[in-house]
Amino acid sequence: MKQKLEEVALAAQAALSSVKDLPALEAWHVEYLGRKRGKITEIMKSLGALSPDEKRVLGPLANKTKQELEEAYGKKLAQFGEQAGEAIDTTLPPIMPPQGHLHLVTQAMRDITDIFKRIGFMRVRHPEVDWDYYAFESLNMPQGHPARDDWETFFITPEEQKGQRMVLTPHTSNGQVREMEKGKLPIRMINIAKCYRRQSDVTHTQMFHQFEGLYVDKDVSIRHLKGVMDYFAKSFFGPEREIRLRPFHFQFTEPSFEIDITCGLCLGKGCKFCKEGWVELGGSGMTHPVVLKFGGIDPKQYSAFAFGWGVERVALMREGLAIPDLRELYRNDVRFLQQF
Amino acid sequence: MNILLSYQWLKEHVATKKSPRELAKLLSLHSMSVEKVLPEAELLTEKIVLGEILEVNKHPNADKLKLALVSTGKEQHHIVCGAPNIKPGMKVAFALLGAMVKWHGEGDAVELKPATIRGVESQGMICDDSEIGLAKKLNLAGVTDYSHLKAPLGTPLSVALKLDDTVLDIEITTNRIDAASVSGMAREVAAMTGEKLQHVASGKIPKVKKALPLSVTIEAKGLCLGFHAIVLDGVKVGPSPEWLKRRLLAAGHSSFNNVVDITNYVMREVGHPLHAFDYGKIKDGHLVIRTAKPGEKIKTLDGKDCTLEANMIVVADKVQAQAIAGVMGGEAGKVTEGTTAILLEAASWNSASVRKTMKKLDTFSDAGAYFSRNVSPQQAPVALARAIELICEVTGAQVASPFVSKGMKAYKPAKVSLDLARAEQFIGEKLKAATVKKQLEALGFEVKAKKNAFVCAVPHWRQYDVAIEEDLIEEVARLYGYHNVKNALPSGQLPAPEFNAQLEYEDRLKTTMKGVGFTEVYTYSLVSAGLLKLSGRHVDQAIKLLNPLDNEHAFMRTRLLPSLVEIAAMNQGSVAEQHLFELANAYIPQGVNKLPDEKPEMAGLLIGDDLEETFRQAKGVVLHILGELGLAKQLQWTVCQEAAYKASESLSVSLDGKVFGQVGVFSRAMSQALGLKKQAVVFELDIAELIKRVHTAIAYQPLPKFPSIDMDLSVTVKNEIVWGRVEEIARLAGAPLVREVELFDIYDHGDGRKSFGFHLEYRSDDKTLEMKDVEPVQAKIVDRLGKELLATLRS
Repeated sequence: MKQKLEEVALAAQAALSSVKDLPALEAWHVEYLGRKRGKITEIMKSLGALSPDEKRVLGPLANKTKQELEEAYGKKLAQFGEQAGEAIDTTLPPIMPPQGHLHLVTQAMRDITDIFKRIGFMRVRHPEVDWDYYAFESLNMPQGHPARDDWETFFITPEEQKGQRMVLTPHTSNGQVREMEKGKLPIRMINIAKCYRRQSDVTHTQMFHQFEGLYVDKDVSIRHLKGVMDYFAKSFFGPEREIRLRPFHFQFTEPSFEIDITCGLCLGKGCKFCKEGWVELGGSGMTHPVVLKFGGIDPKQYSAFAFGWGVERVALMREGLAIPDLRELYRNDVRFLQQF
Repeated sequence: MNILLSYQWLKEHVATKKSPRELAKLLSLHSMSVEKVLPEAELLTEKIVLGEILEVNKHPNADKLKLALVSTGKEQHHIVCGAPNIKPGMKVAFALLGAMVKWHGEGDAVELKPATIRGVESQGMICDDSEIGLAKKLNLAGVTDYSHLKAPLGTPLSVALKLDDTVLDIEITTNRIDAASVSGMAREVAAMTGEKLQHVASGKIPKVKKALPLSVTIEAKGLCLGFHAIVLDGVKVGPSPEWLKRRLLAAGHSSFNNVVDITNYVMREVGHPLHAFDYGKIKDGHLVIRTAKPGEKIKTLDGKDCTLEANMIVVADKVQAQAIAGVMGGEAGKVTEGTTAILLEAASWNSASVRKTMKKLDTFSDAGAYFSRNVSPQQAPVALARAIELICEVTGAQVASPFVSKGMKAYKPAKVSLDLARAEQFIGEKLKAATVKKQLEALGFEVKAKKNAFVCAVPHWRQYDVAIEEDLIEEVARLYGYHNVKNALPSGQLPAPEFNAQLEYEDRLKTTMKGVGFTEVYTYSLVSAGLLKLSGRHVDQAIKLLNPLDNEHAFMRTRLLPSLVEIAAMNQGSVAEQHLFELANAYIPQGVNKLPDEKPEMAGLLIGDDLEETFRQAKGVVLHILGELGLAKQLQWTVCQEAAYKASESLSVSLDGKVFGQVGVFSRAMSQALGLKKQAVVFELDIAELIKRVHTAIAYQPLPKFPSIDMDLSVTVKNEIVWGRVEEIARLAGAPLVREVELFDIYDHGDGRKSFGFHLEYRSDDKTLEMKDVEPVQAKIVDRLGKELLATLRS
């Protein structure tokens, strides 16, 4: 019996190896492993007639043989099964899921928000139509100060009117004193909002977006400002980028800086697209004590830094996009929008 | 404001060993940003050489043009030239092919290529100085004669003229007008490098030989911060010497005559503007500083007629206003070739007044740029002394009056204390006291050590800029070098945690919209009166700009929807299907004395082939959004009463009886007004209010214990019968076993009838249903549909 089992198993293996297609495979299965007349099945059925000793030896052997053949059959079946896919034309064009697009500005804002969140700066929202007090006066730019001229501000109410003048915020810095007024310290804020300036040409749009950072705590130093700026620059633009601070002047910070980043094209070596290896990112500085006082914070106990940069500017810089007319961003031609 | 700083001029004031490039880098890091480093004569490459004219002949086809043969040593060039003064033997600036030249001294430089001019080929160009950047304006009398140059023909002109200076283009920050000069920048260099300052001015004013009358009366006290004047006689007005012309060109000035040129030279060197009047044109040698008479007129040096206002200051004689103070001199007292005596003045003016005057008159000048940025009044006599010295030297003039000085207050320096420990904390670096002291002194501060602090007396040129300790810390920090400060992330306590649901969900909803195939747009929140009116909301109260740039952007919008439709109209030519959305603020007016309510809204727009299908998609998107906010279960579709929508083709989004938005076919009349040809389905959601109601708690629903039976039904009804009625009846009649009613097909019979095919899901919570349980219910549904809607089973 044992010999017969081995012979049949051998024949089955040989037959299987020459099977070429699915019908032949099914025929082979019927011949050897078929539930009614399969050759192995029949041998197994006949085991019942054997003595207990023989059963003890041949039983496991027969089971093992059957199992092996089933496995071999399974492999072959899978092989043919995959070949059976030929009925599908895989060269047909894909059926796409709906393709939506987020605006470049949204994408940048999201990345900016995420990066600062990692170092504890939470996004907040402050008014886009605000009082002169928050947009200028509390930022160390009293009425009539020449620095106000730099902003090309849209006004809502006339200068002569009593009380506060309403303006469209020309920068997100109005959020600084507003955030301080919440009365909770320390502050780690990112205020992202629409800003408006009276300028419209290929490099300016009347409406744009800024993100304003403010950090108020004890012992805040230029070292921290550099650390945060560097963290943002490396996260947003790439770890190979470096920043530098250049002396500058703003009314609401002292000292004030322009932040430069190494050019994305030459990485600081200098090329025709940058200034000696550097491109300008935006302004920042240590918050002026006058501003802290306006926000009800004692500049003797607390120090702070702030920065306010253009969302569009950093977005275009990162993507290396040379959009000849910035106004294209807000024209909303879908053929433009759907590139992002 | 930017200045052009000549490196050689700078070296006269500070003995620096740094190269121009090294200085540029240092200045950018420690002082003022150097935007460009340029050769003195940028266009004078090796392609512009010394040439000699060999022959001049008539042009066969043009009277005003000539044919010339020019030698550049080894080679000869046939060219066409229009200069009236060329003659054989004359040496000229010659541009070889490939040189960069400015045609007629205007516009950008372009590459010189062979050209055929009126039928004759020209292989090069004889250049006017303005065409190669050596002058600001084309000289109509002809090209410059360079016959005096000894260099061999073909020598680059820059070599022949020894133009080897470098110019730094520097951005001067508004608070540091003291640095907007050669001497100011020299001080910065000295502070950065420790190199020594050199004084070029003698500071001596020669004695009067014969006294001419000169008197000054200041009536506009408070607006004039000092007025200093002198008369110089025996002036020979004429062209400036070469060195002067070169310096002015490097600093970006045109050359007029030696007197005017020196006033400009001194302004650039000392950083304080001056003015020279023709003394003979000043009545009695008496000047009055007063406010203008209302309607008073003056013709300025640039030939413009200005009508002055009462708050503007003028420098006048008894007859007329001779200058708009701090802005520009008048034509009447202009120094000309015939001038023999000049009245030279240096004054100082209230900066706000000068700025306002320039803005009102729309007249700007270099002098005004200085005065509007708070130049130190104490700098005026310094500038005047230097100008006297130079004018006497260059024009042969002699001092002919006493040095009249009026209205300048004695300078009392403010003393500002600098606590070194605080500076170290502020900067985050250790400082060396001796270095700090030395650097502050180099900047002009008088520094005295007192306990743990330096008490610093502020020099007059920094009197408007340095007032508090932080100002001094800035000086110390920048000279230490920001690039030398190490980086560190803040290690302090984190602010209290706060979840801003509004911002968070706005962001999530944008992702949702992208996921369902919508393209996000960003439209201006500034809209036209027309668009505002179409919004139908707060039309009369909307925030109106006082000074809009244009009428298209004059109001703050009160609703997003019209902007979105406008964008769809703009895009209809390029794409057939549109799925657009925007999430942005609407600005809801709250009355004149209150800020508007900035209310985030979402608006969506769909344009597709089939209106009903598109509406269903829009409805689905709204439902999906509500689902993302956990509000889908509470949603009720109610009748929409918004004017922008057609009532029978729209629905309101309601929760607990309150309306938070709508979805529907956009009003055809408004589509037309906005130029949208196709019908759009739009939706609007009051995102701010919906996010306040976000329902995030998830309730667990036990899974069904028993299987369901699914049945299909297809009924035929008249076209007027809406699906909602069929579904409602099926649910009511099928309760409680019918759990879901799901439409899968609508068939139009084309004869006023249509069929709805739908699935019915039957399930019991108590047992496994059998057909005998379901069939009577199904029959009941058919019966009710038949009775109420005259529906028949589709055969």
